[in-house]
Amino acid sequence: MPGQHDTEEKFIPKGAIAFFMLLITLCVVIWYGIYYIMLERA
Amino acid sequence: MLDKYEGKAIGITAIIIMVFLFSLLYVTGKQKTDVVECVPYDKTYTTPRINQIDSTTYQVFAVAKMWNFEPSQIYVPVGAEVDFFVTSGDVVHGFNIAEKNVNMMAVYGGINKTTVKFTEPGIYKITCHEYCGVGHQNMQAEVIVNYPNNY
Amino acid sequence: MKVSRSLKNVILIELFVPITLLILGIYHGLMQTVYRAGVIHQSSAVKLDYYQGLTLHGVINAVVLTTFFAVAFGHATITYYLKKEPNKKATWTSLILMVTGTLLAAYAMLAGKASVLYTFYPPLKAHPLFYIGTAMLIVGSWVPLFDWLNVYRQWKRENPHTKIPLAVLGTLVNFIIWFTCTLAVAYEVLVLLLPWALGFKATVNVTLARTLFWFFGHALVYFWLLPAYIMFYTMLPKIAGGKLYSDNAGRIALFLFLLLSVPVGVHHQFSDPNISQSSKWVSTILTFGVAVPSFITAFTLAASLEYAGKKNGAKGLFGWMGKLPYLDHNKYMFGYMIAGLILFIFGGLTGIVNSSYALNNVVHNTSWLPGHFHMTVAGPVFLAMIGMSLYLLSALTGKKIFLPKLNVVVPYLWMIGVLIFSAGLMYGGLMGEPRRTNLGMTYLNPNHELYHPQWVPSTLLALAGGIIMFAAGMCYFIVFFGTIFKKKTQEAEVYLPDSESYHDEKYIPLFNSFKPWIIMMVIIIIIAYVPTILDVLRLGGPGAPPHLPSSPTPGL
Repeated sequence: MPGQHDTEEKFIPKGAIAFFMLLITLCVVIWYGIYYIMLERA
Repeated sequence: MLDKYEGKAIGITAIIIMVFLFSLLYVTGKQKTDVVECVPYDKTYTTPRINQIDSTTYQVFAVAKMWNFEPSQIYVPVGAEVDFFVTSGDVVHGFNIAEKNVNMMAVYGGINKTTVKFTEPGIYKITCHEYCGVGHQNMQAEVIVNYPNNY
Repeated sequence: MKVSRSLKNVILIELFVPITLLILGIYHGLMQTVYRAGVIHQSSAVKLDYYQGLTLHGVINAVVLTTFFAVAFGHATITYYLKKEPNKKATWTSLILMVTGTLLAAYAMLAGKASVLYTFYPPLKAHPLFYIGTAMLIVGSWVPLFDWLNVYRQWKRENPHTKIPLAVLGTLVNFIIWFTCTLAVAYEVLVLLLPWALGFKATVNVTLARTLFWFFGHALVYFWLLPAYIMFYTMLPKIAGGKLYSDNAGRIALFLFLLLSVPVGVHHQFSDPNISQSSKWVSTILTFGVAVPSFITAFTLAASLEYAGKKNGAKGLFGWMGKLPYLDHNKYMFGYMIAGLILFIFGGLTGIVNSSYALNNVVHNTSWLPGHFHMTVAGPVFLAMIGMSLYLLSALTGKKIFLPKLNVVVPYLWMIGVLIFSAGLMYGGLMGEPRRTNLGMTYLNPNHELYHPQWVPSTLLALAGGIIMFAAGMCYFIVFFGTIFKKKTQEAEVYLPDSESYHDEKYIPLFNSFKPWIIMMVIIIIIAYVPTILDVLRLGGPGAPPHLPSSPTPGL
C-alpha cells in the first residue's frame, strides 16, 4: 500500500500543522471582526 | 513528555492569547469601550429622572420595570455625553442600545453605570434583552438624539 | 464485554428517557424559530406558551438529556475500561433520583408554573417542584461519581503502575468538575430559592443567586463537552483507521479542564452590576486559559485524522481530509463525530469573542449567543450524544441499526441545518436582535409599532436552518426507535472502540493522579471567586421579593 512505509517510520503531522494555522487565522479574523464592530460603535 | 509539535501548537495558542489580551488592554486604556462600571447600591438611584449637568453632559437614572423603562423617552442634543445609571424595580431586565455598545443588566438591588457619547442624530432604541415575563417582547424605550434644537 | 442485566437496564433506561423527552425538546426548538420569524404573531400555540416552550427546550435538551447521557456513558466507560461494574444499588439509586427529579420538574413546566427558562434567574419565581426536581436530578447524578471512585481505587490497587485509561480519566475528571460546580447551584436552589419560593423567606439577593448559578453554569458547559471529548480522543482515531497522535496531549487537556472549568464563570456576568471590573478581568484571562485545551485537542485530532488518512493512502497537505470514512454506514459514529467537530470550529472560535471582556458588549444576550452555543452544545456535544446513545442501544440490545443508510446521513443533515441556523442568529445578533424573546409578537409583526424590518432576513435564515435541523432530528428518531423494535440478531455486549496512541508516552505519576490537580483547582477557584463574592455582598442592595412571569405585582 503506498504511503504505508512513511506512516510507520516517522509521522510528521504537516497537514495538521497547516490545518491548525488556518484555524488560528480564522480565530483572529472572527475576533478582530467583532473588535472592529465594537470600535465602530464606541 | 510531549511531542514537539504539540508544544508548538500550545506556543502558538499562547501567542494569540497574548495578542488578544493586548488589544483588549489597549482599547480599555484608551477609554474607547469598557464593561459596565461598579456603583455601590444607593436608594437615590431608584427614582427615574434625567439630570442635565451642563450643555452636553446628562445623567439618566433609568429604572426597568415589568414591562417598560422609565423614562421611556430621553431627549438629548447631538454630541451629548450621557451617563446611564440602570437598576430594576422588580425582576432582571436587559438594557441594550445595540448601535452604541450599551449592554447592561438591570438588576434589583444593583446599580449599573456606563457612559456613551451620542455623536450622530437619530432615534436609538433601548431594548430589554433578558426574559422578564410575559410582556418582555414589548419592552423598548428610546433615546432621541435630534438637532441642536432639543424639542 | 458482557454486562449484568441490571446495569444493562439502567443504561438503557438512562438513554431511553431523555431521547423520548428529546422529541418534545426538538419540537420546541423548531417552534422557537417559527415564533421568532414572525410566521405566527401569538403568545402561545397548541396551548403551550412561547416562554414555557423555551423553558422546556432548554431544560430537556441542555440539562436532562446531557446529565442522563453523561451518567449512562460514564457507566459504560468505567465498566468497559476497568473491567468492573459499578455497584448495583448505587446505579439504581441514581437512576430513580434522576427520573423522579425530572418528572417533578416536567410537571411544573408543563403545568405552566415554571416558565423561568433553564437559568431560572430570581426574582422570577417558579413552582417549588421545579426547584426540588432540579435538585434531585443533580444529587442523583452525584451518586455515580462516588461509586466510580471506589471502582477506580480498586482498579488502581490492582494495577499500580499502569496508565489510567484516557476514557476513565475523562469520566472521573468530568464528574469531579460536575460535583464541584453543582455545590454552588445546589446551595442556590436549596438555600436561596426554595425557602423564598415557598414563602419562608421574603427576599433573595439577586446578584448572589446569579453569581452562584454561573459558578455552576460554565462548568456545566464542560460537563456537556467532556463526554464528547472522550469519544474524540479514544474512539475517533480508531474508527477513522488510524491512531491517537499523542496520549499525553489528551491527559494535559483533561487536567487543564479540571483546573479551569469552574473559576471562569464570571464571564457570563460582564454586564452584571455589583461585580468589580477586576473580577471580570480575571475571568477573561482564565477563560483564555481554558481555550488552550481545546486548541490542543483541535491539533491532536487533526494529526490523528491525518495519520488515518495517510494510512488509507492519502497524499499531500490536505489529502487526508478526503480519505476518511464519511459515509460508511458501518462506521456511522465517524459521521456523528466529524460533523460535530466541523461545527465546533465555528462554535469554539466565537466563544472566545464572548469571553473577551469589552467585546462582550457587542453580543451579550443578543441572538449571537444561541448562534454560538448551537455550534457547541447543539453541535459536537449533541451529535456525539445521540450517536453514542444509538451505538450503546445497538450494542446492549444486540440489535442492528434500523435503516443504516438513513442513519449515516443524519449528522451531516443536522450540521447543514445548524450552519444556516447559526449564521442567521449571529447575523441578527450583530444587529441587536435579542435572544429569549417572542419576536413574532412585536419586533417581527409588520403591523406593530415596534416592528423591526432589519431582523426579517436573519430570523428567516434561522427558520430555514431550524427546519433542516428538525428534519434531521425526525430522521434520527426513526432510526433510534426503529432499532428498539427490531429483533435481537447479535450478542448483547458493551464494546467501545479503543484507539492506540502513536505517541504512547511512558507512565507519568502526575498525569495519573487527581489530588495535586484538585488542590490547584480549589486554589484557582478561591483566587477567582472570593473577590467576586465579596464584591456582591459588599456592593449589593436589598433582596428582591418573588414575581410570577405573568404579573408585575410582587408576591407568590
